[in-house]
Amino acid sequence: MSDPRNGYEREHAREYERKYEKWSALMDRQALSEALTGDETSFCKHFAQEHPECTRELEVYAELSTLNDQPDDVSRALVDAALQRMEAEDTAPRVAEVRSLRDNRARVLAVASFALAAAAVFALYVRPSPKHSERSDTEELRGAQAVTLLRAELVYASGNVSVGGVAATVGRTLLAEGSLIETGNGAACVLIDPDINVCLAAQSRMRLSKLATRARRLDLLSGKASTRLATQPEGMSLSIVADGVASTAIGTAFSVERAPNGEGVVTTVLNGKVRVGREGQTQIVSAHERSTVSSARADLKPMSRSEEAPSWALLGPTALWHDPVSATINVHGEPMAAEALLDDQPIGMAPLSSLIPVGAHHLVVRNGSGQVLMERELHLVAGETQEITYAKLLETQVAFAPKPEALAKSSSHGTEQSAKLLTKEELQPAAKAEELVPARLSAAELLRDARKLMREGRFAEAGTTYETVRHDYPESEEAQTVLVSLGQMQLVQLKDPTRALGSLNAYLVRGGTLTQEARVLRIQALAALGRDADETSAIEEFLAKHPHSFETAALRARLSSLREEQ
Amino acid sequence: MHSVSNIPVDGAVAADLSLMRRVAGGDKHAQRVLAHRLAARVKRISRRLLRNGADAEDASQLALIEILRSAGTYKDISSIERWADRITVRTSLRHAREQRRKPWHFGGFIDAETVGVAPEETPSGQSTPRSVEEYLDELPAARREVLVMKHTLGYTTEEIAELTQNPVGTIKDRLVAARKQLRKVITRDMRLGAHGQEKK
Repeated sequence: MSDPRNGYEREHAREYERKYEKWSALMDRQALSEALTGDETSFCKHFAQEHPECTRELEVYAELSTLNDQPDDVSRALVDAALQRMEAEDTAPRVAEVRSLRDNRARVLAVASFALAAAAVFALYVRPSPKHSERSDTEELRGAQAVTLLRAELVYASGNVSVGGVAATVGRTLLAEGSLIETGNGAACVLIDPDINVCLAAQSRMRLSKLATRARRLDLLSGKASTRLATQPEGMSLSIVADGVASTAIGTAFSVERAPNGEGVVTTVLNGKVRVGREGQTQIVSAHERSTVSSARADLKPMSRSEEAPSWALLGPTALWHDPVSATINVHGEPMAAEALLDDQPIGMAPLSSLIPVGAHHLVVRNGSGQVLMERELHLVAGETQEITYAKLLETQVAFAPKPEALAKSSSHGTEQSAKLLTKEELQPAAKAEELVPARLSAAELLRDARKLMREGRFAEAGTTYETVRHDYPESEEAQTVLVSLGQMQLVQLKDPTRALGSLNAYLVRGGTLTQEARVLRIQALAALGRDADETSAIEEFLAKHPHSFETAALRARLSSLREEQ
Repeated sequence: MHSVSNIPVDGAVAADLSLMRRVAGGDKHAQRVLAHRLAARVKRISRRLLRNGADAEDASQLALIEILRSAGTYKDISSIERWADRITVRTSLRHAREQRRKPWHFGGFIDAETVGVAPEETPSGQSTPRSVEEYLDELPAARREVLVMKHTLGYTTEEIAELTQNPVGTIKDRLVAARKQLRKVITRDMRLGAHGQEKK
């Protein structure tokens, strides 16, 4: 027989549940700004007073509605950090803006071109008075300047080159006014519209201080810069300013160098004329003359051809992008500072990034001893970017590598493989010709190198090495598995989920032992791209196929969160 | 006539307008004054909105910068605090969205060197009542955000809908769901004797 007290307690519990649900519903309605009746308000008040869980809930909401905004040490630190960050963003060249500028360039030019075309059509139909015509011409010139002066671009980077403190490569770097370009052990060239080439020597720093004005100004903060520019539109000039000394030219070639130890500014004029000096104290320097301006004196003397040669040499790479139908090559590998030769002509030190004319080329990379590290035939099409990796010689290869003089002979034979042209006498020691070219690294060795590059944080190079595995050993097992490592690196280190997704999708076509990992990475890539629906499907597929995976719990939570947001 | 409770009185309105004009004009001192006035509030709102402390810290810094840069848009139709709250909410939600889209990690595979560090262990056996932040940590991001906007910032469902770019109906559903989930956690804690131990 049942205890009547149990029945009473059950009834009491049911009554409590009913009232608690009523109280909860009324409180939720109130939270949605719905008005409660007097009875309902009274019920809520009395029920909450009698039940501690309700009291606690009201306490939590009371605490939630209170926001202590009294300053403390943490908020003071926040102020300092925010103000510093803001100042840094305001003064430093804005890389993000540069990227945005790049993205918008085509659109801006298209809009500007359209606007100019519209203006031209309008001009055909409207016959202005002479005065009006004068003003329109000026305005049109200004408009044209605003468009043409928009583009300043890094077209050559040899050695360690950075823009705004960020390592820079060609083809991806449009420069904004205020950009700071620094060179390490190589050189860098900037092409500024209309047709101004400025090349920086090693260990130099230059700021593009004013671009969007008639009087463009570049500040040479250290080192040396050479420039060659076409005749500029009337009223426009270019000045390179170093230590308060401005070298201003229209249609000429010249170099400016800050002498070491603050011993003045040296301007070497190669062509045309340049106005050099401080404000109010300038002199005209003609071709083949060199001016030295220091705080104590201003010298001017003629120059021999050999004295001019280093300044011309600095401008040597400009021939590479003389033809606007160009492609980009990025040459990198170990050891750094290896010399690159394109069609037998030295073009700079690696890592090297440069525009070059499209078509067939012969590229050789050699180390400081002149030994060939890599030799390759290139076939480039307009707009293409080709990544080229070389590797250092293995110890066993060093002994068999061709001597520099042997290379010189082989290079003169155009596109033939150098090793095939060498004679035994040219070898050191004698060896079979086929042993001379650095042995191609095996897939396993390339993977080992890629992992080492990853550890050193050289992700782009690691990516290129992974790609080399795919390219050189397309049928190998490594060529398949490397897609997962590549995808992971593209996603996590290079922050490029689109490319990561491509690598992972490619892996999953055939699949393999890393299918589960590839699926997880693919989910992450879809999340990074904000493709919520695709991510949801991918998680569902994963959970169906790998229900006991280590990642299942995390993925279920993620799925729940995604469904909630959808 | 101002309808919002924390609107300053006339003299203070003029002073605030003057301060904001100076900030917009690039006056460094004025920027610092405004930043100090709002920093604690910005930090606490971001922390309430975002579960991850590091994300909240980043978001509060970004929000403070955004407030200083947007000073020129301030109009005296609300207090500086209320105007800044909206910027803080928008910035924090945007930051949270960006963080959610970043790659997230599981246990180590493929290459242990590339995998992120394990999350800190949470202390166990606590018996003290939870803080509001701990309760909020129990909620999914979308519910948490709505709850904070409603109960901490006093926004209407329409305002929350506008800020989060969601339909009003969705906001109402999320608010009720958040309150129900919070209620469950509170009652569970009450039964367990605060947090961690079964009530005798």
